[in-house]
Amino acid sequence: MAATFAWCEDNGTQTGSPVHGTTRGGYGGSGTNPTNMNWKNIDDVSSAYSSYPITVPPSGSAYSFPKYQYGYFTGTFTQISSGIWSANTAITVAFPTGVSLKGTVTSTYATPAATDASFSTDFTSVVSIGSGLAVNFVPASSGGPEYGSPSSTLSATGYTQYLATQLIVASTCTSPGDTGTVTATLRYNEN
Amino acid sequence: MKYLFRCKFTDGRTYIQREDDLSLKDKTKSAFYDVKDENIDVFWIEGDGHVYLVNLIDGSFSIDGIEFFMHDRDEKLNDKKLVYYRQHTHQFNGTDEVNHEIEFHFGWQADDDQGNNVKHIMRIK
Repeated sequence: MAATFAWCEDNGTQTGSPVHGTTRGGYGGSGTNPTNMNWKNIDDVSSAYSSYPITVPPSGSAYSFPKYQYGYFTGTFTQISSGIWSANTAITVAFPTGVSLKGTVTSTYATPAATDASFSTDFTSVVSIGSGLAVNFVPASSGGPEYGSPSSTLSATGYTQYLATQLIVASTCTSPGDTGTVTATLRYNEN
Repeated sequence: MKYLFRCKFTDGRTYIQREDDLSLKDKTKSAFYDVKDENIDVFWIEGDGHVYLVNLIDGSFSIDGIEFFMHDRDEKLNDKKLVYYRQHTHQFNGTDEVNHEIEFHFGWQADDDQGNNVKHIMRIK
């Protein structure tokens, strides 16, 4: 038996200290893990994205609610290390003109809103995992992805930092509709 | 697990990783926990009909008994330490895992006389 991995997602108003989402899907092995990573005009895991589309604005840009997802490691392992993540290592059809995907690895949660979250890394084009973002870890005994002092290694049950993404639709978009399917990649070492 | 590791300690004992990969010292840890701080002479992984080995005394590697070196044997390298980990690469469409690759990395690291860290790692899929 080795480490097992599961996705989690925080939603809702920021709460606690340090702040995290009010709703924590999958946190602590709760079993309410997210089952998709769809960018939409609502902050939750369950609503269909088709019911909450991001509408092309007449000017400027429209924003999806940011997704604050993170990983949860359980099982038996000695150490997990060298985490690295890319929100887009492959896409079935390139994002159309005016549509962009931004992301970041962070320990900072903010109440999601349909405004610019200012995530710094552009994942609109494919970013190979070798060029991805470093991911640190938090032992569950210290807290969750919001813990302010994550480490480059994990030696017990714990979490990645938030792997946050946001889709942005500019008024220049002339191809509304579903985006291509995006493949995200997470890599780490385990022994 | 595709490959299980075994090793021979400097004091002559041998260690065999079990299929469940559980530590014998601490059941919350993996088998590597039992060897990571020990003085190891030889470490190998075997599976799928093959044996991949690293000799921490002379720094040599071997595949199915065929020995080779990945460093200049005249190079002065001090105190070779085992390096072993499995590199996991998970690919997701949304939260659905569509691929999970595991690559076994093992070898040794040491410092040269200038204090530079040198690593030689074999990667097996």
